Amino acid sequence: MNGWNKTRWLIITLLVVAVYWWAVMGIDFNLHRIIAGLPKGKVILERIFVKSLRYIGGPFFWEMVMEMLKTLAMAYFGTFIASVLTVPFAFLAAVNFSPYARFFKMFLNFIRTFPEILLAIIFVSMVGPGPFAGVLAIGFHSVGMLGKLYAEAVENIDMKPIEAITAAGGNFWQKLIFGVLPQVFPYFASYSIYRFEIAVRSASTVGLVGAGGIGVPLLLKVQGRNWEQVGVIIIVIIITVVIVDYLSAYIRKRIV
Amino acid sequence: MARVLSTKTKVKIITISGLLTALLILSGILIEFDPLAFIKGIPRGIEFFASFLKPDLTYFKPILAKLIETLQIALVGTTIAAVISVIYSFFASHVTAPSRPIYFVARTIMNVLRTIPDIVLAAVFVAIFGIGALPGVLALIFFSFGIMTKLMSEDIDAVDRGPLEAVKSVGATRTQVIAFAVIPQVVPNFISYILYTFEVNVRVSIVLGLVGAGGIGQILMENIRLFQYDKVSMIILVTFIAVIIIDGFSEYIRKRIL
Repeated sequence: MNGWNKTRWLIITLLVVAVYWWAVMGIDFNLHRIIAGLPKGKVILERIFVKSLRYIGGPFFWEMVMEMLKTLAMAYFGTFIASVLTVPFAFLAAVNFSPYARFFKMFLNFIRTFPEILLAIIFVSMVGPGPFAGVLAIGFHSVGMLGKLYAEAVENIDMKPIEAITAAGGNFWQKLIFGVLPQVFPYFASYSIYRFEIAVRSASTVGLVGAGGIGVPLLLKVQGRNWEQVGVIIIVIIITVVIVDYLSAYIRKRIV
Repeated sequence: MARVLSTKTKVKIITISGLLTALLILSGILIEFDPLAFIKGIPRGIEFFASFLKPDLTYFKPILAKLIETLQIALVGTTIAAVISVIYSFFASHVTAPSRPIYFVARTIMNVLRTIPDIVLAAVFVAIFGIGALPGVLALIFFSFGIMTKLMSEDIDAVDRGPLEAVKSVGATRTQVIAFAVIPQVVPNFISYILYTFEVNVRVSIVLGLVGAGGIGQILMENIRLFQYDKVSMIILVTFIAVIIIDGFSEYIRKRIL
């Protein structure tokens, strides 16, 4: 290592240490506060994960199962609509199909930059509180993410079948339907199902800003410090997420 | 198309699309799908976006202070989680785990933690430790632990076995195998995962603030409650710019290191 390299590493190390010093000071990372909170933490965790079990099967539990079904409906509707709307974007943003691919890729990046919860706030102000606002937020964000993945699938297709159709005198639509779609469709479907998994998680949280779903009762119960009922909601969410992840992985393995 | 597809395939396609459509209609009913509300909301949406053009610039200072707090939460949370996750993932991979039972327990804990929504973790920590940045950091540690251990342990699962066997054949201990055959293979990806998690965490710490776990989400929630939409849009605008800068910065580091 020469002198310049050593100085450079020293500067970088000092910078990193300074940044962490600054960050730790800023958040008031205080061990006393953590230790002081532990007994309280034990009580709350007990109420969430142990005492809540008594409510499983009761009326509140079934009410929350119903809310979770609504949340799943939000995720499904948002993902479905987004999947359909994304298809044209996928071709517009693929370099082998569109001369303006760079522009559309930037547009999709721009959409993805918005955190879903901020989109939810915007849509709640537009259409009022309720699940519809949440669906719009999930759908909008999904277009950004699916657009990128779909476009990559389109860019990776094998051009030979399309050349074959061209050679046989096929027109644009015949090339698209028989040459391109059969190649990309399994990927599109797989990505949409994967996106649905993420949407289920988002749909559970957009309720915190009034955009419907199980997040609405969750916020209410947290604010009211009803930890047993918070526990019931958490258990319902966990079980649903596990089932959805498992089904999604199973279906995706069969498709691609 | 009729002559191209067999009857069996046709039946399959019709059944699947019928099922998907039925689910779409059912969920449309459950979510109270209302295109009229959307159309009626368009003027309000335009009004909202118009407020981006005349943001409440005087509000910049309180936003900046909270934005800095958000970054600090994300940085400290991601770093602590990264240290724990790197060590933990060696126990949660079948290549490096000391024994079957340890591997199984490690993976179960990891998978259960992953299903708890970030916002729930934050709400619980706020209740335990009070409002502020500390519960935000703790929530982020748990949340990013879930993401990183999954990515990292799967990476260790997929390492090239050649170097492992070579090191083993000359009589290396388990620790030596990990240090000389596994770690050199996974380091680039691990760095990439940590940067990715940091990007995610900046967004997540915005959400955490909504339940009182510090950072920019806290003032965002306050202003939503008070219907101060000019301030809300200023917050969104500043956050948006910050997210773009951080993503760009993270991308730059990734390109320099890898």
